[in-house]
Amino acid sequence: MAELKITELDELTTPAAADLLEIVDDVAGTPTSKKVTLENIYKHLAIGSDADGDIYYRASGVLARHPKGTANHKLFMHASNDAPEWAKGMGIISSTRDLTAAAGDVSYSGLGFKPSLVLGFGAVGATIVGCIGVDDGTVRKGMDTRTTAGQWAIQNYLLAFLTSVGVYQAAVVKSFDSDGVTLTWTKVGSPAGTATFTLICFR
Amino acid sequence: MYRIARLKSTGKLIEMQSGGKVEIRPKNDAISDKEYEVYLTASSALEDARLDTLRKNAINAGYDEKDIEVKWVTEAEWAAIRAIIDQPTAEQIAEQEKEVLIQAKMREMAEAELIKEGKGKLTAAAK
Repeated sequence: MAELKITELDELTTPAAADLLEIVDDVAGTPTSKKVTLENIYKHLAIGSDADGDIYYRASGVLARHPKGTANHKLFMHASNDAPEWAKGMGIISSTRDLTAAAGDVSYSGLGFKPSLVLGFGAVGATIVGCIGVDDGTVRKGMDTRTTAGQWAIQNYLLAFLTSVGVYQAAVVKSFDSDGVTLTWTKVGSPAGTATFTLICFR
Repeated sequence: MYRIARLKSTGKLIEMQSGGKVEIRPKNDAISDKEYEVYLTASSALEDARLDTLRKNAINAGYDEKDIEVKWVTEAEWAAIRAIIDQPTAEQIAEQEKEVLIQAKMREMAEAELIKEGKGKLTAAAK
């Protein structure tokens, strides 16, 4: 058989798992030429300290290993949008709202991630004033207690604290931020008291 | 932990937000002392920024920056503050009493109407 350079061989463009490659075993000890199937190459891929549960992804043009996450965590795209990230993806912020405060934007921080959906509920202590709602930044639906009839009513706010007829403070999501959320509070009339509320945030 | 903002002059609570403390990971052999120091510095800066959220909110709400105090409080400290703010205000008590009177008046009017229509006699007789 005539000697050929590798560059002169026919090209295989659709390699199969059982196809063979030449490999040098035990490079550091007694190097020996052997054959290996393509299947065994990719089955025994190792990048660094590989462990069960790790995943592989492309990083800066090369294959990289992403270590396994905490049990029951979910896989998200990192805020940099170029790498995977394991995370719980849920968090809670509790806060208060002085119902006498002026309307405006208020930021809430401490989540450690940028949410995409918020569920909120709250009440004014020692009163029947309470509400629950959900907001994804575009659609907001909730319900609040209407003091006049002692009934619940559907409204289009994440939070709405109606202290008497036509008198309330209500909030919707203005923006989802890297560490929390900013709400825009609306004030109608002169509500009094302090509302305590909780935001359950989903990444 | 909780973060609160309040007025120095009156002690009035402006706002509370829960959480914000960074859960510091213990150092391990995979990172150098210098890297760990960077991590600790970044964590501290993040906590400061989170506390500063309340100061900025208070300024945006129109409070005098010099009169604003922001600080971390424990769960027990927050519970003590909350016990005070959960007390109904005089306006709220008045509103609730007014509501009870309105409900009673509405019921009285409805019952009178029923009796007038002859539908409430049984109730009246039962009394």
